[in-house]
Amino acid sequence: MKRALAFVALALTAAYACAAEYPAKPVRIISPFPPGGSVDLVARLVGAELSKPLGQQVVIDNRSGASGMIGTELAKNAAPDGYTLLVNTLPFVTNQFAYRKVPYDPVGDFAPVSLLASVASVLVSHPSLPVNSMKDLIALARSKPDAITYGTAGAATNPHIAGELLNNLAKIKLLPVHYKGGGPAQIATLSGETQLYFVNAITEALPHIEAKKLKALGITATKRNAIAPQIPTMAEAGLPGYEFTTWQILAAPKATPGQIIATLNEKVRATLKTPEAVKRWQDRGLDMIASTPEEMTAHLMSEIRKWRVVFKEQGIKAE
Amino acid sequence: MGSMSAWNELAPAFARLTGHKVTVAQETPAALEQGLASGAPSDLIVLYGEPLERAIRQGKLVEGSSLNFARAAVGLSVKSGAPWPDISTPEAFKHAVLGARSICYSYGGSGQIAERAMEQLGIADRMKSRTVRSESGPAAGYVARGEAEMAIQQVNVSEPVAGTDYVGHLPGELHEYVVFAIAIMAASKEQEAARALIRFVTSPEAEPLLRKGMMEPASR
Repeated sequence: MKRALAFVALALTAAYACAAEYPAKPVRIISPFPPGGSVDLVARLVGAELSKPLGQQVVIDNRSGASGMIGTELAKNAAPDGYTLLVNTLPFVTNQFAYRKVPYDPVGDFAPVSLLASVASVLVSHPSLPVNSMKDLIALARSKPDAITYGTAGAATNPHIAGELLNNLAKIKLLPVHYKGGGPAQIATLSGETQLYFVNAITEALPHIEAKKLKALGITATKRNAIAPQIPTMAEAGLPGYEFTTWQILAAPKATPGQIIATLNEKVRATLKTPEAVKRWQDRGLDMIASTPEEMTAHLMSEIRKWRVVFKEQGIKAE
Repeated sequence: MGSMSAWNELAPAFARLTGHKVTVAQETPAALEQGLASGAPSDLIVLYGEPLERAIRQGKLVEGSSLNFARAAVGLSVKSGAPWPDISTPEAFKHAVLGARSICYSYGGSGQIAERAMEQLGIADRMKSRTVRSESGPAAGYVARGEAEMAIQQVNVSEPVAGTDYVGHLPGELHEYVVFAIAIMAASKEQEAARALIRFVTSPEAEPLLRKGMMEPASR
């Protein structure tokens, strides 16, 4: 009995020593979506912000596919030592409603670090579509069900969810065309192959909007965005009640020591909440949150409740 | 898609090289026609086939400036997970499409290439009842949604569509490229920069960028 107790004490000391030295080598953040989208953008931003206070390089590892499930599963199965972290977004919690089989549990398999930021999308249209507002779009879509297309970054990704929420609320039937990522989906709308697209990173869309290659129909937040105040909200443009705000979280494999999680959360909040960092993120259309782990869990739970209903009503399925 | 997948790479590269900003806008044929008629401000135009010849006849383009600069292969897509048919020879391709419940192609350039392939194989009539013409989005999208079993379209339009696999180009003599020409607008006030852009997109440096956009240099 005595020997067993001594063994436990020794193990605890070892874990503490390990956490105290953390991080002793570069930290990897898995971004489960391809470069160019909002998750990649946030992973890169948070990586750059954290490398100085952590005193280590932070490397971004893009592992995309299956609405983020490939990279997320990889993070779940990584060693829980604080050297593999995950940035993810809405499909992290909604894939369970869209796919028959999801290889992870967003709450049970991960230790929350922080809810980092939230971001609104912009609905853009190709100039060949004869609409100038949400009101026009809704009227046209009512007269032509299943004929007006919108591109997505894949089934059950943010643009798909945003589009189905629009279909649900406006009682219209826009036709989703799924692409292998947000990059190709945006090119398809620029070329008129599809007619609509929800851009998740406003800064990605602004040059095209300014060059009149895309029309901005509305921003999906309840307030206009400081970096593009000329774009009306969806409500102002003719669809009251529509809101699609997505978010990015930082998480670690479940068994990561609490000491490491506490270190990471403390660094996240200390560095991201400075006015300079808040501005840097705002310039990219991102609203800084940098929450505690507990706040992140509460947010995930409330999002699961909210989207379960929409996915069911709208019959959103990826397969 | 036209050639937008390639311009997404070419335009920023040209801007870095020369400092000239390039704005690329894809127009519908009707909007383009209207733009040409009203002399809407544009320096260069990318076209293929008949509309190009018409614009030359109408004197809208700088004489002799038109040059084929890129082409996109045309091929067959199936649903991801479905067995890939053998399309390595015209005979095998004929067997594959005759075995399909339905096949989708557009009314555009690649759709005409698909039509000509069916005619060459002598199966145009037999294919008629199971041909779906795409009107909303890429032909491969019809395959992804299960509205057609196979699709024929340019590789740069088909390959990015999730839930589908691009099996390969049309085989042998059935294959034609969609060829894109670029020309300087007679009304352009930036003739020098326009010529520089044409030189750039037809240079060896442009080739890897075209390939990134799933296109290739046009044989000239």
